[in-house]
Amino acid sequence: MVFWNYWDPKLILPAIERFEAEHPGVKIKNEQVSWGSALDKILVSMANGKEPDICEMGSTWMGKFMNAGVLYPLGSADISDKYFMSEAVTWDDTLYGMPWLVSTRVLFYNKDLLEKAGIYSPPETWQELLYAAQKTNEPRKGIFGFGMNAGEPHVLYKKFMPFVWGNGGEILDEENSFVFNSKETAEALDFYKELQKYSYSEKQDFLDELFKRGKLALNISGSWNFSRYPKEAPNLNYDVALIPKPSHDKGYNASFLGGEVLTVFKTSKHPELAVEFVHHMTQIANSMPITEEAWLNFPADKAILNMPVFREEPKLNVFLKQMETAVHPPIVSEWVELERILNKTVERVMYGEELHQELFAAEHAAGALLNPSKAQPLSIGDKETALRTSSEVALLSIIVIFLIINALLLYFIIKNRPHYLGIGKLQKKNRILYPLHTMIFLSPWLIIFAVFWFYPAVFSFLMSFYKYDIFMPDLLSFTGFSNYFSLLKDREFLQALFNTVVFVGGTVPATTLLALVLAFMLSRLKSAASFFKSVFFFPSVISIVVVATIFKAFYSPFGLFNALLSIFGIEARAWLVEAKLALPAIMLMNIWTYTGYYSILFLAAFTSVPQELYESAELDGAGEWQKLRWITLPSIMPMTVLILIMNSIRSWQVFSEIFTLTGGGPLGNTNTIVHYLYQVGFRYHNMGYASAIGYVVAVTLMALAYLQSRLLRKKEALL
Amino acid sequence: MKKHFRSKSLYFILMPILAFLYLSPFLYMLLRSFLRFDQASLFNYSPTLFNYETVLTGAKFGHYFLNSLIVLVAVLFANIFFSVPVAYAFSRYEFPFKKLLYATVLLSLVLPYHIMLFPILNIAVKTNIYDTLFALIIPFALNGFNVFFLKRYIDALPEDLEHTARVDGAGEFAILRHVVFPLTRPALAIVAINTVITTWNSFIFPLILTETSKARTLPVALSYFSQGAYATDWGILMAASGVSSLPLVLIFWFFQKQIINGMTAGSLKE
Repeated sequence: MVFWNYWDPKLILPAIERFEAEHPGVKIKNEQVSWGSALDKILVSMANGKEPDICEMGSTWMGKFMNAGVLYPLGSADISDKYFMSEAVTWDDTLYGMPWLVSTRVLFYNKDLLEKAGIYSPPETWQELLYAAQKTNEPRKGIFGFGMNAGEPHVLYKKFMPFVWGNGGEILDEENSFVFNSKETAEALDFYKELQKYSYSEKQDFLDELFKRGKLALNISGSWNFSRYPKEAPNLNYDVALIPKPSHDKGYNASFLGGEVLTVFKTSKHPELAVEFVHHMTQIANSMPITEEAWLNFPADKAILNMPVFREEPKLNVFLKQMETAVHPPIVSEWVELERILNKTVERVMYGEELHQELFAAEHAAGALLNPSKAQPLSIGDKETALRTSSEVALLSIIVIFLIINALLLYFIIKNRPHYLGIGKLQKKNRILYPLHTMIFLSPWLIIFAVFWFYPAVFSFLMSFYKYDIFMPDLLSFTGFSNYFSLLKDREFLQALFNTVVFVGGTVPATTLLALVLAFMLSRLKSAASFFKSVFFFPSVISIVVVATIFKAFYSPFGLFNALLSIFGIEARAWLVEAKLALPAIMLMNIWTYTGYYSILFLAAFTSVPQELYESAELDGAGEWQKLRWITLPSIMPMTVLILIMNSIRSWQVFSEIFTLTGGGPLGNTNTIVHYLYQVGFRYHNMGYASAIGYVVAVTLMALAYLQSRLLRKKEALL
Repeated sequence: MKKHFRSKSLYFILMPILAFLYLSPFLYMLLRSFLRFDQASLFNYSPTLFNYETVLTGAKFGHYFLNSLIVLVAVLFANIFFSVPVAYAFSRYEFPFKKLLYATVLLSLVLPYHIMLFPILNIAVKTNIYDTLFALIIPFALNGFNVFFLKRYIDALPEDLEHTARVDGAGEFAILRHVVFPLTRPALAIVAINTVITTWNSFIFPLILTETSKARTLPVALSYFSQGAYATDWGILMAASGVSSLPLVLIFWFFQKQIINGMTAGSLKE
């Protein structure tokens, strides 16, 4: 049997060995999957019948999986007395998994900072929290009151929802109707906005880091900090408390509850044994090693409430107390989409949008999601929210025109000038016909290419005319061009398209020009040239994910980038969080990464310029500039075209940078087309729609490449 | 006199500054990777090998490294060996549906790979190469960019040499081997370095196309060190990143003369 989980094998293997000893003849294959890419891998495997027998899942994914009926039922026992998160594994009174590991959030507070502000006990109510944040907030000294999460798509709601829940608000009512647009939510949002004035907004791990350095007075965070704070900051005088409630006589101390569950796939050949294994793994003795390793989460068995390890350590005890009143997000099949709506709403309000309008928009979006049949047509008022300003309408039409022109251009190329794309040959003379050799030479391409690339391309092309949900393969239905038409109305797609146009428009010319200048400088060097060449080539050798990781640290609030700017008296910014800075920050990284590579390609082209041309130009008295302008540039034109095309293909498909650095946020300002495609396909499981996006990307790129080679060759002809 | 001064300033001021700008993130990565905790700042530097120990002893590092190396070598040689004949046929021969066939090469360049993950896994399962190193080698033995690039390059080469060879009685295979291959060497340097970079750093395909640790490659294995969903251990992350990029850095460092000379040796003329 195969078991997928996300933990270091050394924490899992002893428990597996015990199970194997108890069940002779049973062999469990333990496979570690990385947390960040687990869901992608599960989905792709499911679509191809390659799912494991036993699988660890995030508790919020369960609605989708249980609804799709791909999990093996574990019985109908009510386990809510014995386990946390029992609601996450129960669907129609049937159990589809066992809660394994659970975690929640509490309020971390820095005792020294609070005492300096004259506060001697942790805040218990919203008012006290606000007061404490206000009193401790001293941005000029680099000390902040409250840590507010920003720029992270999957974390924001976990930090905000406790205030809604505590205030009596809900996301869904018992009939699964969307009740988020309520007085309770509005109050919580109002309060949160007020709190924002005394807050520092960053990603969660940077907030934890700031707290560790004693620069943050209050921070809602999780138990993982216990594995680091004592070791890394022994002098930090801090404690934890329940998340404050609205007031002493109202509401309760709600928090976010979530974690990991173990499930068995229906396709397992030995489901009974697999279920036994699940029960075995969820025993406290077998989950404690994971807890003790990093204190990320606790065993989900409620017996931990009586365990001395937790009871007698005051800080952990607070966690236990918090867990009793913590709320698990609703278990519905549409949770991922709901989560997106919630995050978007909170994020937009935090970035200054009007509260009630956003709540209304959220209700509309959720209504369309939960009751697709009952969805009301947009009234005139809603239309105004959908296309709020005329500038957006203008943008929309520009993009539509842009796409139409591209399509026409593409038709034109294929019809008249195929050689611009390298299709067909310039010289029509000397036609060579060697059918046998053609076959032999092309055979590797015919086999490998056709099987592994052409078939997938055709498959996804056909897919783009279907509605295809990985979870509902039976509901596959032909929808014609509707995927393509809905793209035109999809505001998120249009925003992503706009961002990508900005990205390409900003990086491609800059990279190409800088590479040319750099190549020119390198060509003038006489000694140490190869050292410098290697230095500039260096970044392109390294995986873009690694580069992005380095830059994430670089752009952090205490990173090198802010330190460098402070030398010039520029104040520190949250580069990847501020709405207007995130995209330029990623563009800057992109330019930095690729300039060196293209400059070496330019250098290669320089050496091919015939020396005689320069010599005769010098005889005619041409200066450096004239030689560059009239000899070098025209001679390297083919390379320039190639670099522009390569560069455009890369920039137009930018993904890894976005995925690693921002996940498309803040406010979707860094969401690019391919990143959006990924979200649609792998987060919202709409492969048909994703394929349609893919083909829009491909067609536009072809047109872009054609346009560039055409424009530049025309110039070349003039010269 | 003025010119002399300018080139000197280029040497001693501009180039070192630029070089520093280019290296600083990597220096940062290197320095950071030797630090255990964040409280030790770069100003109060107390290096430790802990992060490297964690990464290198973290289960079967040598095995993953070997897998990556096998895949790299196989894919590199397959690409060099296969793409020249393909590009040559597209460039010089005439055959039916040539434009259409070539358009599919271009299509593979401009289509985002995400939408192809499902069908590719599907084929890997059907052809029984799923979860073996073959799944990471065979589909990548030929790559659209390399064919595109080489075809453009061969288009620009003069045909005279081939004609002369043909007149002298050389067969097509001999022409390919003794005329075309040597002439495309500069382009092959670029093809090689591109293939090496993309193959070594490839993450999503190895992740999807393998299941057990048997055929796992280094980038996938190392991604577990950045799995902190809640808190990032920058020290370990930087050490893991350093370890994964080190082989390429070394390859590039030792072969830089050959690579850059190879690339700059020939011409890319129309």
